[in-house]
Amino acid sequence: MKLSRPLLPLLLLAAILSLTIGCTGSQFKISAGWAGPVPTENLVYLGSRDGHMLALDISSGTQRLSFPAQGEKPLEGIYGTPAVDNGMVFFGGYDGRFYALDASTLNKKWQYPADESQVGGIVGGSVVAGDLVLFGSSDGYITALQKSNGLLVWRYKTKGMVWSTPTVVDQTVYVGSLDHNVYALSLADGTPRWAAPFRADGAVVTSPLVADGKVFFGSFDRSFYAVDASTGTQVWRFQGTAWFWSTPVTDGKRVYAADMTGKLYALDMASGAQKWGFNLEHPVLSTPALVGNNLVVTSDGGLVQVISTETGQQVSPSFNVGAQVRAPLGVRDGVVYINTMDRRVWALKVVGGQEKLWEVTAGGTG
Amino acid sequence: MDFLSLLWNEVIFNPMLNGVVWLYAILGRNFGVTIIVFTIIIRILTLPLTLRQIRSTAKMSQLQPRMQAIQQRYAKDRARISQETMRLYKEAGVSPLGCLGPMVIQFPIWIGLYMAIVQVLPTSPEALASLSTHLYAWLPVVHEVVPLNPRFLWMDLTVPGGYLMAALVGASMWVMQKMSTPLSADPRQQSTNQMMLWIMPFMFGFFTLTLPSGLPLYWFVSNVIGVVIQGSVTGWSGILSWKGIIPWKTQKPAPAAVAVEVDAAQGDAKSIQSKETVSDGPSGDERQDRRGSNRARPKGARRRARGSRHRGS
Repeated sequence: MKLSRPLLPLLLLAAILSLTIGCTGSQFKISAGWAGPVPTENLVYLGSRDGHMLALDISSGTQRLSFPAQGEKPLEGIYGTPAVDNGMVFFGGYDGRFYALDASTLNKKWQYPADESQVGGIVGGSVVAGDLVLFGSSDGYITALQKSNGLLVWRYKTKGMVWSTPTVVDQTVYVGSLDHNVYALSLADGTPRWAAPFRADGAVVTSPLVADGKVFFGSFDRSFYAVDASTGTQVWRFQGTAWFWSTPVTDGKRVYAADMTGKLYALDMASGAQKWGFNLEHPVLSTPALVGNNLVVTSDGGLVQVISTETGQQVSPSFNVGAQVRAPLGVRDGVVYINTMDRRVWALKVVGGQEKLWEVTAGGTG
Repeated sequence: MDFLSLLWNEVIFNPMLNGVVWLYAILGRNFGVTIIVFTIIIRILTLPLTLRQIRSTAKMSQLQPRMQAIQQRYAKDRARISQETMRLYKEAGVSPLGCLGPMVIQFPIWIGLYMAIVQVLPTSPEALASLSTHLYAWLPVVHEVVPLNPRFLWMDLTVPGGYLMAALVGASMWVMQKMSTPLSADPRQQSTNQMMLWIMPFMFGFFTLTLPSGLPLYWFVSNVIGVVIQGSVTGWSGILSWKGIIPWKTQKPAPAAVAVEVDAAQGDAKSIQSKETVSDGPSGDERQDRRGSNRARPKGARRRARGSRHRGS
């Protein structure tokens, strides 16, 4: 067929646009999740990158349970680390539904909302406090449900998406929002505890760490903050080099926070003074884990590094899992559990040198 | 491939993305207004190219009668048609590719803007996480305004804007096409132009239904500005004329052919007089040509014509 000349640029335009939309569109629509593993006595619970909540055998990594069952339609994406409490597993999906499963069978006990409606996509993890389970969602709400039946107890609306996992200390819920604020709410009824939320200069995705009467969190304004837990006023502010996405950890002496250029900082809890720094050279989204006197940390570079909390020096050679790691690390009995972005789950012994215990592919096949 | 990726990111994508976020920060944190201002800036930056395109198109339009005359005269010698057409272009100082310049320039802008919109607005945690690697460290304000508020008027700029936005894009595209497409003396060309007048708006309307509405907003504003520029340069008669709107109705071809005298010695095509002809009937020269007269042809052309007859027999 002979095409008239003016039609050629038109077809070329259509082809290029279609190709661009096809290539770049699919890239950005991916929402497969990066949920952290939660090791228990016999099982490791984690959200797989193919949209399943799985329970793996802790000694071998063999898949024992799955929700939804293999063959059923998977969830859209699971970002939040599940909360395991009293025989129940709680987690939210990016599809805007919050699920409670029986921990021994992974059968659904309830979901919120109970009907077919949805809340905003759930990115953060959930926390259990007393009779309640709490989570944030992309429609700006912090929601508290009865953990036994999923009935709504209270909701609090922020002005931005809530991707931060709430932290509950002394009947107060601390949570960050992409509206730049950190909120302190009453656990009982969701009413604000501070005169006004603490406003950072950037969005807050990290989960607040509460210790020593302070709330610690990082922000997209490249600052790391310490705020008085009872009043919400700033105690100190540390200037990093990039966004803080990873949730900080503490050993009671220092607070450890990593930013998205891969800089790991050890900061004095009282003053915010930097004690030491370590460069992982790749963005850190994964929450580090404390194992004894060492900090286990990994990044988009895929290297698992064990660093002394005292010196800031590596105590053993790096272990390469060969893929990005964005999920928080799970720890139990000196073993670190890692859910990588290439759908692999690793169990690494990190005490006395790093040693792989097992490695499996999560999801896909039963 | 890494080099191309680096080039794309450093030369187009990152400057555009940071520029968009910076504009958002200084324009009251309204992403719709940001896109509108960004579009105006892009149109101002590409104004010299746009004016060149408009003038080139206008000149091409003026050359149509002479081109048609060449086509009629050398109907059996495509090489000669091409040669004479190029000579005509050169003489008139126009480039047939001149019209494509702004379109080619705008391609990376469209693609960059589309990627910037999807990257900047938090369509997924993955998109937001990778944004941090593209923001300039020396520009603190771009870090502080992320994530951007995607609401503008009735729209969420991260999702397709629906039929109203598609209609706005389609209508503005149609007006733009209508004003910028010249009536052609060639019936085939005219028919193609008419088809494009409808195909382009429908195509972009369809894209609007599938893309984050930030990009269609850019198209709409860009089209409106384009219409204003076109109208200012060439007048508003294009949009007021209803000729050539319906593609499936056979149009009477434009009367415009101009006789061409070809200087055999110089090989030069010059118009010597305006003489109205109709393209569905051979001109006097063409009839003469069909009788086998090669008087007006240069020697080379005569040789080629004879050669082809021999080969054909």
